[in-house]
Amino acid sequence: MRAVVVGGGLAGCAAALELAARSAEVALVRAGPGATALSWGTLDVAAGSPLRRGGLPLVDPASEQPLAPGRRLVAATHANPAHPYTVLMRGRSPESEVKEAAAALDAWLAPAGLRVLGSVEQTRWLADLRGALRAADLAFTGAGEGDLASAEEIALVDVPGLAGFDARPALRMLAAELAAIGLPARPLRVVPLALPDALAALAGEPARLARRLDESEARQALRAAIERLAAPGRLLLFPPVLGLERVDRVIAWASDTAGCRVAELVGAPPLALAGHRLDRALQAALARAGVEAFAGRVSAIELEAGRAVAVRIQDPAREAGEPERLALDALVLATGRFVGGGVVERDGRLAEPLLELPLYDLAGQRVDGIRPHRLVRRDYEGEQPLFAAGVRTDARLRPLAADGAPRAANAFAAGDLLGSFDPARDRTGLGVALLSGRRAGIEAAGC
Amino acid sequence: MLRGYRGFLRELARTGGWRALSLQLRTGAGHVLRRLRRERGEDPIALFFRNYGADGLRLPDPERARLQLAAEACLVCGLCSVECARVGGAPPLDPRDAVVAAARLEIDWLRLGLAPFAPASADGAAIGIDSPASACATCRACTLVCPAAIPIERVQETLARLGGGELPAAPR
Repeated sequence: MRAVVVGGGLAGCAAALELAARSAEVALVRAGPGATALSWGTLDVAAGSPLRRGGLPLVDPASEQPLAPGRRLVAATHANPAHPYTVLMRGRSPESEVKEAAAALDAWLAPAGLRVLGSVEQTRWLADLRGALRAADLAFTGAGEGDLASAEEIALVDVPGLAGFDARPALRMLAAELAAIGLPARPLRVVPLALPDALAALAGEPARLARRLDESEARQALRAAIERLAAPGRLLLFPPVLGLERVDRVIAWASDTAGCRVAELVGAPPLALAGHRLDRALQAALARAGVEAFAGRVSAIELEAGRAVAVRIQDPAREAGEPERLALDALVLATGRFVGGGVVERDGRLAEPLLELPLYDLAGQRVDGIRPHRLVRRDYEGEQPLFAAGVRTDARLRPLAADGAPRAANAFAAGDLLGSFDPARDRTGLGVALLSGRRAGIEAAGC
Repeated sequence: MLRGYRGFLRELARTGGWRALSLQLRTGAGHVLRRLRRERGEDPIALFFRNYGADGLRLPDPERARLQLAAEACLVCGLCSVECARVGGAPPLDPRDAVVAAARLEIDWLRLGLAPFAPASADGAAIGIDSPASACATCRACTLVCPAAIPIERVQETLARLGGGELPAAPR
């Protein structure tokens, strides 16, 4: 059986790895890393920012008790019955579903030194670069070590000149948010990290600085400066520049050197290195699993008698040439949304370019063929129909055509291409990608 | 309210705005008349370039415009530079510089769908590329790592071609 996965973000990789584990011959076509490479270092299954509108509920409105992450997930599906989780969790236990998915992802990433830390049973509080709190229960090595609740003292490490991070405003915001959440007060401070000259020149280029910290000579040069940050019971929160390839080694080294806990802040672009590490580790897992990789964009999908039979790949390096044709028995579409190009503006109107699928917003209204600016509302933090635009699927994750029937019997959809949820608002983006990607892979393997 | 109106009139008189106002009214009236008579004049784009082509305005190369507008999505994360350094070309390239330059070079014109004068410098210095594109190994490592999916290798190649003066020089 030959399966083709279109899209190389977390959803596409999860589908390809599940297919490969079921002894299918798998090809993965990817134009670029997509929104996965812009992710922040947390695995947002049911993450939330309690002090911002639109996040998942943190407290049960009936009993006024704090909700465990697994229950938050259920609450999200009740609040929005069209949420992909509703399809994915039907007849299943959300906690065990997420636990299983997190364990599978952990096994894929572990050889590259990236682990999935935390659990869906307990809410963990992480701080991001701006000092905002996130209830992120699962996070990758780097940000994942930075649970604030168990720290006696929190110290933000200020790297002078580092582009994209300013410790002092972050500290003020963190203090205010910790107080608003009602976590017990603890000392908060900014500690400056004096970079040696060789590294100080790289402060303006965080990716290069991170790359250098992968090398043990660069770390030796930094040893004295790190030792000066040591204090018992302290949690040292670095901006997310602790290595580009092996963050686990850099964190273990820094933690040994300082003699206290070390973690990264949850990053945001342009400090998007956590997403890049995830992308690298996924690519390594694909290579180990023997998934054949194609660089390029799928330009067309051939359908015959209600089944997808082949894709055509346009290699961007030779646009003039004839597109390569890949025959297939099963197809997984994980083309993403706006970053990946799964949903595009074509002739000024919203469209799904590969199968001409209808698109739906949060309220279940058709939005394809509509001008995007008509789907944006003035309320900055409010719901934006545009940002929830995506396809709708049946219970087996097959995308539906306008008549409500699956577009093709052997085509499955996963990740941000699924509509009716806004990943930036409810912070379930990577969770939907992982859970739906795995499920799409399993369903496709049965074709 | 009357005082406000008088203030407006005084301001008009003081700035010489009467001329602008009458020009506005004349062109507006002309536009309405043409619409009423349903006149189809010459192709407006051809008319524009007949009037302003001599000033050096041209339609941009569509491929170049597409690449430069794509470059605007750059987050300046620097991963392309890191990947390029890993490839280890000599002299080492900084693809990010090319992307940042591309996202700025004449970008307001390109958004309008126009290209102004060709860049003056032949060695590319004027448009912010300080490494020759011939050093590029065309391995596409930068393109494949870009979180914003910018076709960096081709942006770089296009800019280098611009710097090399391959585009026709501006008239005059």
